[in-house]
Amino acid sequence: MLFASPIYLCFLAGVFLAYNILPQKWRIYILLAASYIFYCWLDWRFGLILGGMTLFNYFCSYLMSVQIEKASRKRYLQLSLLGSLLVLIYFKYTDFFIESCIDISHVLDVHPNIHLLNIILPVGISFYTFQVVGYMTDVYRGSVTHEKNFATFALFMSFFPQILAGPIGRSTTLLPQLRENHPLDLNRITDSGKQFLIGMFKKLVIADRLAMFVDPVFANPFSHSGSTLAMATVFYAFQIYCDFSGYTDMALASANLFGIKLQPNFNLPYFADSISDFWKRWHISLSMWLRDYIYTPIAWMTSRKLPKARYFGFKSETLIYLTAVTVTFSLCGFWHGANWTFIFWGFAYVLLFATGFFVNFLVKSAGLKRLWKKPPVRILRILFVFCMTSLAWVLFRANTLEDGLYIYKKLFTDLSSQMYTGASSVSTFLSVLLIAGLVLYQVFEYNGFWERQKQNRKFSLVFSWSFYLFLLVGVSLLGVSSSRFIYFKF
Amino acid sequence: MLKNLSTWSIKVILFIILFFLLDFSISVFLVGGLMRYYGIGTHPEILIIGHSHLMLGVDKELLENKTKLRVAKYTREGATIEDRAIMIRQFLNKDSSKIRVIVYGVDAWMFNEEKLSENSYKMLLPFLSDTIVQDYIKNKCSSFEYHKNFLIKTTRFDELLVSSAFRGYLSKWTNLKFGQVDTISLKKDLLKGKHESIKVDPEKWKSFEKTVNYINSKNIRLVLLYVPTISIYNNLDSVNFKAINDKFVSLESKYQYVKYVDLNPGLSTHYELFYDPIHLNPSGQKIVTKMLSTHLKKYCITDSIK
Repeated sequence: MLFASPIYLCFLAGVFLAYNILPQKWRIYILLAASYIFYCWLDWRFGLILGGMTLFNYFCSYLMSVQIEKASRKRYLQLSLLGSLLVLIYFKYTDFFIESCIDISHVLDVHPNIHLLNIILPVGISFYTFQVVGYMTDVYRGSVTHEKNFATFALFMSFFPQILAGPIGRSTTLLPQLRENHPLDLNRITDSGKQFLIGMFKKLVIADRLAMFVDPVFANPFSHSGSTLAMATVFYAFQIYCDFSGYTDMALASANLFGIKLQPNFNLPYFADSISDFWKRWHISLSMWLRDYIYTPIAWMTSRKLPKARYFGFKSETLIYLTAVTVTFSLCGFWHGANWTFIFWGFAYVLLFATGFFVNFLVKSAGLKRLWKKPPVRILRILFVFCMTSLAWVLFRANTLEDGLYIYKKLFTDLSSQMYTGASSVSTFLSVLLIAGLVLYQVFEYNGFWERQKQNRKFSLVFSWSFYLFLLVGVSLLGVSSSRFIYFKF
Repeated sequence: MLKNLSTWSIKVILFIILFFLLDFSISVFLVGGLMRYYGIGTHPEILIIGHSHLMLGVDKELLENKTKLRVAKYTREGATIEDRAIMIRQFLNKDSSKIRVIVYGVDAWMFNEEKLSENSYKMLLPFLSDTIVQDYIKNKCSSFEYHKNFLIKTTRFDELLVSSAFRGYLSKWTNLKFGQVDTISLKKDLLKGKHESIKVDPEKWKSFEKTVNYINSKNIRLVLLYVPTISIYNNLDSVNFKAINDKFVSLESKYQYVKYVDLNPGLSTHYELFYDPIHLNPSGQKIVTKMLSTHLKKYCITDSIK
């Protein structure tokens, strides 16, 4: 049941009606039942795994909450983290480890009798594992108390708009909303409808159309020229953005229909002027999760191990920062997928962060801070960051490391060659137009133009109606048959 | 709350009405463009029916210049034998008064439609209001898809159909693919087995013959045109290739108004005329169009049966 499919729209309408018609005390159970139906629709066995994880963590959380001593609480936190992460590792990484072992044994000319287990990855497991790890840590830290109501906790783990690909919910913001009663609000329905439509347009009209060019090129990069690979690289940067932000828009809109505000995941990421700024704007719920549960603890632990002010001529703050970034982004890459391409994609960001750190240091030392912030330089920085992130996406999208390295080589040596215009040149041309339209729209958004126009009611009404009519006609006229969302595989 | 609800409902209904008005206007505009592009309702004397092979094989404007007759080129990428039968019926049902010749694209692989899209019927969706097309599509797609397309008219189009509609208004009928086939890579691919086999699905042949019979019953000349395919490709399975050719030839004696024109001899070895193993480039298209016009003048136009 994909968000942009008619069956999901019927499902959503049915849940919405039941939620508002049936007595208030049933609401949490309606959402819980809907969430499990939605998730089991993909494969009923996925529901069992989710149910098992929910029960296990609920009891760990309960046992932790009744302990007074910190050491005992820590034991239950460790038990919960171990259990949850083992499930994630088993489903997501077992085959990867086996495959790596087979590869290494081939290199060593040893032929052990081991085979892949071909384990099916339960969709969304990475997301709800991170969500529950965050919850357990928060309970341990005392940021939230143990959720006594099992149904509320189960809904926190399985809420259908976010279970497949986030946004990763935080116990501090999501749990209170799940406990609250949300009366029917017509404005909320309108807002949800608008946001859902924007998401559908991004997914069906832009992302899936770009995929028509990107997929065959990345499937066989060796038969394409450098210019074609460059085009596919740029297209993929926009495809993944429109795919994931389109999905997020639909998730946010679906949750908002029930009065639940999920965390927005994107804030004009390709307008970032530094790599750290990019990660504040891209997949925000993951970035914040990594910051709070990986980066900060690692930085804290490292700082305790480095009591001196300087080591090897470097300030200890620099070493703490680089250590925390290295661990965080290595894990970030590995979290995205059990493939060397993702691991190297994570390392690429470690390099980019380190480079950014030293460039900032040089700018400060040379007294260029004012120049660095001037608009023309800022535009250049935005373009540079876009190029760097697009290049990093190559590793993310490539099927193998070999493919990725070949693409990099061609990008820098074969740009003047003839370009492939896609299976349908009309579609490719339309893709370019759509990207141009999206960038133009976001330039206005970046400058706050749309926000200012909202003050002008007349303009706002005419523009708003025309805009949403345009989106609706766009989806029905140019929408490509929906395929799976890219982030579902994580 | 009630007042708010009524204002909100009015706004929603108004938005829906506006959407359907826009949807209707856009679809009327696009169907108009498509009719012009395909020549439906333009009272042509020659009708060209086929898929991309014929689309890139014949230049409509050049053919009109050479024959001094109005030509309609109703060709679509991936059109199957079944689709083409419907296209012919749809066309003749609307506009058969002046048609003297139908040029139907044939090739050795047309009865093996494995590589053609299973949903090629979607290209006929813009004409859903036509009863012949409607019956055909009803049988082809799910009930949900049918009703969705029936209700929201813009869902019947895709970017290719939109582009064709605009080309219709701009009177731009060129179908060109520039470049030349890379015979070295082609030979390598063929050695690896990357090619379709020639085989005749009896059901497909039956369906094809039904169309031939239908055109014959309308007393309209039918030219079965084999736009050349590259010899390297044809020679892969020369026995079956010849067998299919013989089948096409046999139709000439079986039906009174059928003429088979095979342009392979003399052209299939000229690799410089091909964009890929099946499709012609602009030079190939020009030559084939001129040859077709000669054949049409010789067999059909001077010897009109109407």
